[in-house]
Amino acid sequence: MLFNSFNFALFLPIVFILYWFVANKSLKAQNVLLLIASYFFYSCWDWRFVFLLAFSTVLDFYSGIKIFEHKTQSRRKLWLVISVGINLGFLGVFKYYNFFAESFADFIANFGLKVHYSSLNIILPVGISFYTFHGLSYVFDIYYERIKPTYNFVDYTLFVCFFPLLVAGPIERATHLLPQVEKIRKFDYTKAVDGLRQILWGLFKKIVIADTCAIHANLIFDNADMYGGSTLFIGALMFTFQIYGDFSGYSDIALGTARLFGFELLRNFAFPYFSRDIAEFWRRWHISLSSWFRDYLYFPLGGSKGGTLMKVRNTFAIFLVSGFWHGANWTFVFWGALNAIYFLPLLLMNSNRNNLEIVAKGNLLPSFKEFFYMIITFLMTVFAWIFFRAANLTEAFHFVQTLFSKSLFEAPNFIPKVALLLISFFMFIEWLGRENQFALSKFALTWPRALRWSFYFLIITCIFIFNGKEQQFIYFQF
Amino acid sequence: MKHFIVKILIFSIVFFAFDKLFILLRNRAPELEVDKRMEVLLQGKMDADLLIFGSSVGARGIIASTLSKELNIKAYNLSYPGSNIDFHEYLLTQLLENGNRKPKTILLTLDEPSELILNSSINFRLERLYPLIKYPKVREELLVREEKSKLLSDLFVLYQFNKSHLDLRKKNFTAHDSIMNCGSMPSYTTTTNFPAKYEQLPSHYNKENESKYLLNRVHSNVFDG
Repeated sequence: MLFNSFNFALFLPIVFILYWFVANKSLKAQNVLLLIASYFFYSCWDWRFVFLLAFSTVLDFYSGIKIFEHKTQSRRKLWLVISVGINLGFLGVFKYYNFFAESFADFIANFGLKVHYSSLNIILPVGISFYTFHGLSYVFDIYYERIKPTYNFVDYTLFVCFFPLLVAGPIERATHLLPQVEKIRKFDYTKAVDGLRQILWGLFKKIVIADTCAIHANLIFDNADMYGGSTLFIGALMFTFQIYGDFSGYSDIALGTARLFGFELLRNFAFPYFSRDIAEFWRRWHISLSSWFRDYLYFPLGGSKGGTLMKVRNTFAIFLVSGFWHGANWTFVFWGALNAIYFLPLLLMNSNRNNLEIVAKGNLLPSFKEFFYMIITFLMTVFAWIFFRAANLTEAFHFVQTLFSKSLFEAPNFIPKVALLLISFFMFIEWLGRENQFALSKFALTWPRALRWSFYFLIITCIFIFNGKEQQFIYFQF
Repeated sequence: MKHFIVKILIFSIVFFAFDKLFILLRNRAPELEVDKRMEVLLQGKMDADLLIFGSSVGARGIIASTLSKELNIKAYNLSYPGSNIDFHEYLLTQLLENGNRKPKTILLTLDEPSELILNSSINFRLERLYPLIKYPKVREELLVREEKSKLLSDLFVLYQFNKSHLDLRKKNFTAHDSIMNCGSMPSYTTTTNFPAKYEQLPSHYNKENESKYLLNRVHSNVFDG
């Protein structure tokens, strides 16, 4: 069941009404209802994977208790290894088996040897990367004694599979979400209205921006050899906005939906395309994943404590793993490495924390310097997305080669006027709302009601008009 | 909670009323199309002895009026550039279901044999259907193809739209196409705007030998390709 589907448009109000009118008196009823709804939501994709989700949940719940209860360090470590090993094992089999088998065979072939491997026809269980990371953060936090485990299985299961975040995040932490699960939720009018606004903006990003840009991005990337550099640049630009609209749109719908039920999820995007350097970009893009890798990989590896060399090593490690997390393809690894290279000068000059505040805070326009740095960072990001989008590295390098040929300065084969107009409108609203949680959070709130509602009508009209066949969210494949 | 539900209801009712203003725009959309061929089919007014179905090969390659003149019959071209066999079948179904006169001969042009298997460069031209969404038959087809949901489509006029409805200018099939009264769409543009790998028209090309040349091309595509 996709967030942008008619089924979800029916599912959400039904669960909402049951939650606030039937199950509102007791915490247990609220949690059981959300749990049933979440499992139903997940089973709409493929009911068989419900068992995998349930197994992973039971494993982490039980491991958490065992880690907490054992007094000896070796026993605690054993349970941690069991939990992490099995979770990553599932991820490895379902997501990476074919990739490793193929890469190994290719590597051996370099030495003139031939290896026969059977590639498995594996369907990737939707959301596996996300719920695995939920569970892992829980057992790590117990192991490092940051939290105590919960002994309430329903609460824990709801923390792992709460439907708004189940299939594509944000990747929650037990320290943040579990306390909310354990407390009865009271209806909050302001929060609910804010949630609806965020859902509306998320749908606009997905259906109007991402799906429109996808048409052009797909056409250009799929026929890259037919076009010159200027058209390829348009293709890369289209994908840049496609992936942002798609993923941040999904996150907005997830956060907005959770707000309707009285939950606050972790923020996942904070206007990343207004970043002034690549370090700022990574503090604003897929925040829940970046902070996950920071807390559970970068810090345990030593973080920045061991001098510059260690800092560089650890930064490369998290970017490479982050790239690989996205998918079993060398393109993602290269994309991760490229971002690490972008990061390197900032790291060496110790200037990776220069831009912590949102750009031009309190001002309508940025300074020339800020604008210049924003454009440079944006163009670097556009370039990196080419590797993320390309089917393989050969295609990606061919794309880059043509992009930087003299045809870059020729007139493009076509200009997607409608898409560019929509992007301009979208980025204008995002710019105006950049100091808030999401662009529409406070936008138009002070306008007269007629004008404010007209603006919402305009957004809904765009969503209706651009709504075609339901399009998957890109991050579902991860 | 009560306040929240009441406010959502009021908002929905006002939007529902606002949405109905767009019935006028929806009903006017077919008038803005230069290409009226599909509407003729939907209205059951097709009256031809010979019909040509196909993609651009059929649309640009066969001049129906030439066939009419040579064979002394009524020929009409229902080929749509970029359309696939699925789309041709849809047109045929509309021809048969809407009370049009059944033709004696149907000429189906195929770009290449692989068209019958899979070809991503040609497709079901959904965007040709959207301007005609006021016709229930078109709406049904979009529902079958999961373009739109039935309930929302029944409730909201705006939901039936696509972006072409916002353009209130007269619309050609594409910027460089023209359409003849017989339904054929010869392309008179130069090919300078296209990538070099696209086929160039031969230097001896002119209007007189146009149908002969393009018919030969259809023939070579279908039988030799």
